[in-house]
Amino acid sequence: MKTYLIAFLLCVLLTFVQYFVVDMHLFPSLLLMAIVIIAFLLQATLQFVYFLRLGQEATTDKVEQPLSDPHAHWNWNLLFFLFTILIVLCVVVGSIWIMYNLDYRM
Amino acid sequence: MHHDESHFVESKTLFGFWLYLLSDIILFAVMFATYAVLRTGTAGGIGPGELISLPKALAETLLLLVSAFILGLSQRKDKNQTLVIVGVTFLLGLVFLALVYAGLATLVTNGNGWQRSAFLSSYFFLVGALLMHMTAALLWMVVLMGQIWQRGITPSTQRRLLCLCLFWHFLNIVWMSIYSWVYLIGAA
Repeated sequence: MKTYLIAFLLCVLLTFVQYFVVDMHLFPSLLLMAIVIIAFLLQATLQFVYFLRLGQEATTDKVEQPLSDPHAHWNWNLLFFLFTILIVLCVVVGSIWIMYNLDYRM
Repeated sequence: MHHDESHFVESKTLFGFWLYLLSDIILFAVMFATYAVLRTGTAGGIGPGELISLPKALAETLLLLVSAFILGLSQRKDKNQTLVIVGVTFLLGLVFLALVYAGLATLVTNGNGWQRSAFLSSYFFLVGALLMHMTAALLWMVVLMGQIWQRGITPSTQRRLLCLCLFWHFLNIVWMSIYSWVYLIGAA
C-alpha cells in the first residue's frame, strides 16, 4: 500500500519533470529527447512493477501444480513479458531501420 | 475446497488476461512504429509539435494517472467502497475521453483531419485505437458496477474487478507512451 502510493507520486513527479524540461526548452533538443525517453522508461518500469504487479503475484499459485512439472516455480508472467518486449523491439527498431534505409536509397 | 477452486480459476483467468494485454502491447507497438516511420510525412501541413498545447497534454495525463491510482486502491472486500471507487474512476475516465475527443474534433474542424497527411493518418490511427479501448473499458465499468450492485462481492465479480484494474493500468501506460513519444518528443 505504501509502495503503491510512493510509486504513484514518483510517476506524477516524472510527468511534471518531462513537461517542464520540454516546455521551458531548458536544454538543446537532443538532450531534451534523452530526458523524455529516460523518464518514460523509468515511469513505464514503475507502473509495470507497482501498478500491474509484474513479477510479484505469479508465484502465489500453489494449487494443483503437477509435481512432475520442473518449471512450476517459474515466473511465467515475467517471462512472457520479456519475450513481448523482444518482439516490440524487433518490430519498432526494424521498421524504423528498414524504412529509413529505403528512404535514403530512393 | 471451494476457496481453493475459485483461487485456481482466478489465477488462470489473470494469466490469460495478462497474455491478452501482452498481445495488445504488440498491437500498439505496431502503431507506434507506423507513427515513427510516417511522422515526417506532413505534406506541408501541421507537424508533431502543433497537435496539442502541452499544458492540455499534461492535464490529461495527470487526470488519467489519478484515475488509475484510485482504481488500484480498491481492496475488493467492501461492496460500497468498491462501487464508489469504480464510479469515481468511471467519471474521471469519461472526462478524459471527452477532452481527448474534443482535441481530435478541433483538429478535424481546422482541416487537419486524417486525410490531410500520412503523419496525421498515423496519429489518428494510434489515438483512435486507444480511444476505442477506453470506450470498451468504460462500458466494462458500467456493467461491473451493475453486477456488484446486484450480486455483491463474489469470487467472479472480484476476478472481473482485478482484470479491469489490469486493463485500466495498461491503458494508462499506453497513454503515457503517447504523451512522451508523440507530444513531448514532437515539441522538443
